[in-house]
Amino acid sequence: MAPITSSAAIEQTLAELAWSLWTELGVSGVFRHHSDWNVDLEPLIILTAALADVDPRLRDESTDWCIRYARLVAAARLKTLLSLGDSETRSAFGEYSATVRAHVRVNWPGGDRPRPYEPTGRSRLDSLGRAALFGLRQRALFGTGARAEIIRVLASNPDRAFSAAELADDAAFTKRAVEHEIESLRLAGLVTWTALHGRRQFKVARRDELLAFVGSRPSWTPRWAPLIRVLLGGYRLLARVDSMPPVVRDVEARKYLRAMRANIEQADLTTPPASNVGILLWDEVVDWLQRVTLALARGNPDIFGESRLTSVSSSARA
Amino acid sequence: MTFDSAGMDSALDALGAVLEARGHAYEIASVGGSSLLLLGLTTRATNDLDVVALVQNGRYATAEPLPDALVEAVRDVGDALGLGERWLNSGPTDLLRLGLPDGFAERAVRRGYGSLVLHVASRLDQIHLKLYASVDQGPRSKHVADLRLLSPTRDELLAAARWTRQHDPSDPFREELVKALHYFGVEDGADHI
Repeated sequence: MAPITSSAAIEQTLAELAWSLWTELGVSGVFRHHSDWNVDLEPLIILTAALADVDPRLRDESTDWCIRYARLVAAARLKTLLSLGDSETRSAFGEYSATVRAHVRVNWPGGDRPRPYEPTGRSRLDSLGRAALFGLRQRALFGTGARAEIIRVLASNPDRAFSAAELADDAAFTKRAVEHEIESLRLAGLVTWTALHGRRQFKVARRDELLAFVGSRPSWTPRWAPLIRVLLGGYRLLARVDSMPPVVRDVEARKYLRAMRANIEQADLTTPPASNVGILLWDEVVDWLQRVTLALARGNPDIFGESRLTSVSSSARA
Repeated sequence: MTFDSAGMDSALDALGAVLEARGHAYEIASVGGSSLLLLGLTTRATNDLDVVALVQNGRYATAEPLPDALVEAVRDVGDALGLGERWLNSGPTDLLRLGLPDGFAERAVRRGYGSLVLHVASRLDQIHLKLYASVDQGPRSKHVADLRLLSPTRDELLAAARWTRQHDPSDPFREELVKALHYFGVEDGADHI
């Protein structure tokens, strides 16, 4: 039997991660490792579409969920996140999106060639009360626009101030949309702002009331959008150059790290050392990708730094 | 960062392999110190590889701008090997506008590096180019030393001198050219150019 390749190992672990997150959402799965992690729906859909050929059952069960609970999916966020992804990600999303749109009226971006599909009817979402569904709960309360995402970000970090640009990044909505919504929230008395170096910084105004209202929060709210970009980019890197000569692998690994630097920082991941010149970098990148992917799939937050990840102690949780 | 011969070969091997992996193929023509290194005509370390032309269907075309995919691969290889972004550049491609020596393409030495084919200027063509550079940049330039290493004959120097006049027909250049020929042992150069 041929040894398993790095890319095959990564794709299996990515599928495991996607299964766990979808299971939190009510898809018919077995393993759950993210009951205390916020599940971010649109990056998860994009990841799942990219793995469609790897795990057809994951594709079909998640499609069933998307058709049944389409009202909880933010089409505008899908558009924004796809625009930030690579062409392979957009291409993979096309058929997935077309299949969902063949069964439910939604304004999703993507292709116009659905695959043959009959909903399985196995998806169940009985309550949004669980911590992992914190983000979806805000959508049930505030709709699928920027407002729900702003509340999610602010309530996840109730003692921190954000610029509009930071909120837009986290929310995956345009800065203009975020500024529009945050003004409404300010008028409602939920948000206040201060000026820091000439820039407005926004934070929660009525902390205890807001936290009581938004419900139970997860301990871990990673920024899934840049995380998924890093993971999919790494997966494709491995699939493309794993069998190439060492010098090519080193060049491509370095290019990958350079291209992903901003996403790695946004995701608050610790990076492998990229300053070393030489072919050993490839092994370090592969090892790093496998560690990060496996830790995420198993719900282990040790891969993150401290600066951007919310860790809410159980006593502080609403 | 400077190259010796093995370093230049390694960098070109890497570039050719990366281009091949990305599905690109290019042919380029090179001149200058790196080309002398590649042909074993000097051991002087150099900073970069000078590309004078892209070779497309056997025809020489300007290398300015270099194709995006080639520039990207050069940058990525330079980053990985610590060579900088412009270790391969199209600096001398203006030479193409006024014309390379007759027969340059036929005399060029082909070297294959993955999907990159390098047409390295021959010794005779390097004598042409180095004589021109020596006159242009003066007797203290590195080109004088390079030209001496090529051990040009009288006929080769005179052929090169006549070619340089196509690039600069001015009287001041002619005066400097005669001095340069004299420096290399051609004392009656003025009578032949």
